[in-house]
Amino acid sequence: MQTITEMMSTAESGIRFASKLAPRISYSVKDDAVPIAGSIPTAYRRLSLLENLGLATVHRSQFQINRAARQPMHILEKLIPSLLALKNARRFGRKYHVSDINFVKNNLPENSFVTLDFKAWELTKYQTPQDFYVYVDNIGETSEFLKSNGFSEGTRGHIVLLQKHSSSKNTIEQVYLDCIAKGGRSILDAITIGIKYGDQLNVKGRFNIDDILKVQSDMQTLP
Amino acid sequence: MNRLANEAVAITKELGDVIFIGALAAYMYTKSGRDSQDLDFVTEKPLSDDELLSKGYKKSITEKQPWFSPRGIKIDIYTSDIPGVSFDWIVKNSRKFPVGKKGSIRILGLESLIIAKHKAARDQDIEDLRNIAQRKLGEIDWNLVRQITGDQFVTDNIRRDMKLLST
Repeated sequence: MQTITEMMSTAESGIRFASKLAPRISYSVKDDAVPIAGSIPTAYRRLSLLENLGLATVHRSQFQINRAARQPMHILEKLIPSLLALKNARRFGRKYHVSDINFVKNNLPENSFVTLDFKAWELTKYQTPQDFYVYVDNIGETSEFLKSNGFSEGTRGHIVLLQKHSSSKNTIEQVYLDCIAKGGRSILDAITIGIKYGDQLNVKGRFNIDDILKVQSDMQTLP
Repeated sequence: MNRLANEAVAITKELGDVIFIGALAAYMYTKSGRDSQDLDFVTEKPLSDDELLSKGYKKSITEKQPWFSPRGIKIDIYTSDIPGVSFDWIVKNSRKFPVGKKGSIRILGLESLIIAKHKAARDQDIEDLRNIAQRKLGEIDWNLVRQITGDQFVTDNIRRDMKLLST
């Protein structure tokens, strides 16, 4: 099994490739990747390296880059476990309602811990949660437990199982890194955690200044 | 998000037919998404400080958008174009949504919302666009998108991105 340093080293050419792309929602392999990579096969090799780390998704001749790829290398290294956990996450639903979340909350596997939406909400009260992300020791066992209780695996459920990794700890920093790795609205959670719990973080992500100002402004209460 | 939708109903009753944009608009189309701390809306006619204060709205002295609703929700008020969408199209392409049993609110049109979020393209906008793409792709009027943007190239880009986000 590769160490994180080895993974970073393997993916280095992919990460350098991603850093040369102008920030956009999606890209074309032919029009955007080939001019940087040099050829179509090299472009797909670079994208494959990024896909392995959960930093790119390729669909036919189009692709997306996870903006976590734009974090500095020393942060990106810390994000790798979160990125891999999210890439291999499994999603479940039963009634596709809050009752699904309540069921899992009441039946949490031993040593599991909650992250992202619900944990960020508990820490910051900034954005209401939507999906229940939980790290478990054995994702296979927990998914069997859910299935035996009427849950189905798919893409729309609100329960998301993440495989615990050796370095996962139930800490604020873990939630912070998970938020950066997931991207989307979770970036606002990460910024809020950074503002409220900065003294408990050993790493500091790089964020868009407009997003930081938005969070600071939203956190203002009545005069 | 119901909390903000109910707040939007109250604001509509107090300030008239304002048009809600941003996260609430995305939620009304998808019934999915995370509730943030503020409401953004466009007004057809400018609201004076006196008018807002007389209706119980409170002003912060530290902010560029310095208002809070009487119930303490932060509000951002727009009185002109938003990125990618002219004021005329904001009004013309808006639609009413029922909220609860008696209330209703006016929301930015789906096509305008997509254009504005595509133009902003922050992480949270991309997540909202993904939600919309996965649930409403078939309902987008691309001719209308073309009319609002006034640009076929921009329209094609938005269409391509929305298709990818729907996968």
